[in-house]
Amino acid sequence: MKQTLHKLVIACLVVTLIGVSYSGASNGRNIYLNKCGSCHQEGGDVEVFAPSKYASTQWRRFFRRNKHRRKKDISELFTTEEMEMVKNYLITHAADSDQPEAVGLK
Amino acid sequence: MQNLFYIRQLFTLIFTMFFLHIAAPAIGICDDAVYKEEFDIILQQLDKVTERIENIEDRQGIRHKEDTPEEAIDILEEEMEEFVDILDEVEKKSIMDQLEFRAELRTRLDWYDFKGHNTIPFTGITSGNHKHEIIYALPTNRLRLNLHTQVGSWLRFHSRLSMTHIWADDDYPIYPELNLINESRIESDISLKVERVYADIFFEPVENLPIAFTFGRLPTTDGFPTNLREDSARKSTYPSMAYDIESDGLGLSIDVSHFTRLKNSAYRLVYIRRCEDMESVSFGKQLSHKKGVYRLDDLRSSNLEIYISQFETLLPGIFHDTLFLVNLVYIPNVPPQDMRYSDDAYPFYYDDSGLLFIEKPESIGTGWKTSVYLESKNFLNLHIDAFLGVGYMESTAKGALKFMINPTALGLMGEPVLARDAYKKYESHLDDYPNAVPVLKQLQAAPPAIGLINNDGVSNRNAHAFHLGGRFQMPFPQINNPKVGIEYNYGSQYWLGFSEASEDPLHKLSNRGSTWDIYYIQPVNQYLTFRMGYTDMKKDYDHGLSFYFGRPNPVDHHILNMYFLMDARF
Repeated sequence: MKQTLHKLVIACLVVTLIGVSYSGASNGRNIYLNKCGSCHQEGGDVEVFAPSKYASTQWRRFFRRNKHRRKKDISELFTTEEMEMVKNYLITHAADSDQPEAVGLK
Repeated sequence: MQNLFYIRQLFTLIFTMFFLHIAAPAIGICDDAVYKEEFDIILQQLDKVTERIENIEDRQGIRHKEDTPEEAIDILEEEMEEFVDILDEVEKKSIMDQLEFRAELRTRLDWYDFKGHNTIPFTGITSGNHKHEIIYALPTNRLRLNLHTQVGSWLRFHSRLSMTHIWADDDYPIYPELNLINESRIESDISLKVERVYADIFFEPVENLPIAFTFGRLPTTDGFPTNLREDSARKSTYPSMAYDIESDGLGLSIDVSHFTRLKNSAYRLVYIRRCEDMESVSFGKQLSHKKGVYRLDDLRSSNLEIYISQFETLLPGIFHDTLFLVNLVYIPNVPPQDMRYSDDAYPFYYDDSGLLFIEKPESIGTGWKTSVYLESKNFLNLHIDAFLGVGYMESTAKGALKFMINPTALGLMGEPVLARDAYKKYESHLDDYPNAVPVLKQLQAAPPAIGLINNDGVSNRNAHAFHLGGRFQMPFPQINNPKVGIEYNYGSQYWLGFSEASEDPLHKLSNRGSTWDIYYIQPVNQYLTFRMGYTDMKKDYDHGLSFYFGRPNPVDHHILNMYFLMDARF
């Protein structure tokens, strides 16, 4: 048991160190919440939207045709990498993405 | 466009020449009536030619006819009506086509390596040589058909049909009680089985207190953290270490987010019941004799009722992506095991001589298990999904299934005793009953009393387990951000995992011992994923699934499982 605990502690440390080495980097969800959410917020002029607003194909088309430009050009607010991460986040949580299941889960 | 212009000029020229050289002299020699008739014909032909030229110009977009505002509105109205007709058709189709249909296909190859001793049944005594068994690349296919529909905002319907089988193998294992709780998830034949089918009815009897009532075959498989290993959304109500079994029942979920001020806070109470009629037919032979749906089979097990109470929520602050669950599984009465299919116990069920019989209480005890589970997605922005689960359980004994003999059937005096103890009890008197000696000696191998995790019907037990691990998403978008995960779990001697239907073939969370598990997930695209993994399981005690019958005995089993799988989901 003692040996197992040692292994566990080492495994936890290794995983945490790997994670820490990449900490600070944002993910698509955070960018969506912070950057998209800065305009798309409750009570604001711009409607709140969820990734499930569109199916994955529609999100792909949205980004490919830069449809946001019709309302506002946001290309200067996002780096190419950030835009790609938001796109991936929205696609992976789109209306046709894998949905959670549990008793009484809405 | 230039060509059309020339054509038009040419036609005008021809007409002018015709008029000047042929029609004009005729004016002088013909009377007015003839002239007028011929002139009308020419005008008509001219109109036709002009019309044809205009049509050609229209098609080529050369001539643009300016519509009046009224005409434009009429055209727009016509087009709008056409669009509305089309939208009506699309809407009707989407309403009629409410069932969302998805499929998953998995092909998996498993390598197993087993080392250890067999033990004498019902004991921890090793028997035979140390064994080393290896299975190479056992191939299985798994098909899942997932159906969902949202009939309205108040009603949702879900179902999953599953099939799992070893390539070209169509055997169906006969374990009547176990099959009831994992038949769609263990390797069997190629039939589709209903793994889950349930409906959620949502209503709000009190303001800010939404409630959901759920009924059917419930989502109680693929428990946490299977979602991490499977790289999927949450697919179960419970953590795998609490309850991971196919179940039918009723559920009530109360959304308490408004009162706790915590996101996704809910209390869920689920009632599960297992009513086993024990009728079983194999290869046309009826193995039991159920007398009718309205009558009791005299050998049937009693109903098993399970209550599961759970509170869950997302934590606030920096742990905003952390799911917290606290769960209580309560079994008020555990019916005794039906062992008529056991080679050791079979004669006790079907002996007509009056020597062997079974003493069977209604209940062998009660039990409860509590677990706390935390799962954090992108824990502290470290690109790590981490989880921790701990469990504790207790059982209270109320009796045991006993395999008895009636000594008077052998001419011996006294009350009925446990068959395996009879030789010891009557040893000193057997000189007078030589015929009884071989029978009683043979019966020493009869099963012991089988109680709730005990062999005496009176010992209460407690046990604990824990499960922790994490999954790291590599920052390599050029290869679709592969993920690597590691898990460890431990269960003590009397631990009951209730995880027969778990995704991993070794059902590691029921292990009475320790298990390491590592895996690598390589997404290929949105629809295709590869996974490979390695599981190292050391069993300190036997059984371990939800086999709560009898005392767990020590074993020295060491099982390795290496696998590679391909998942297509669409």
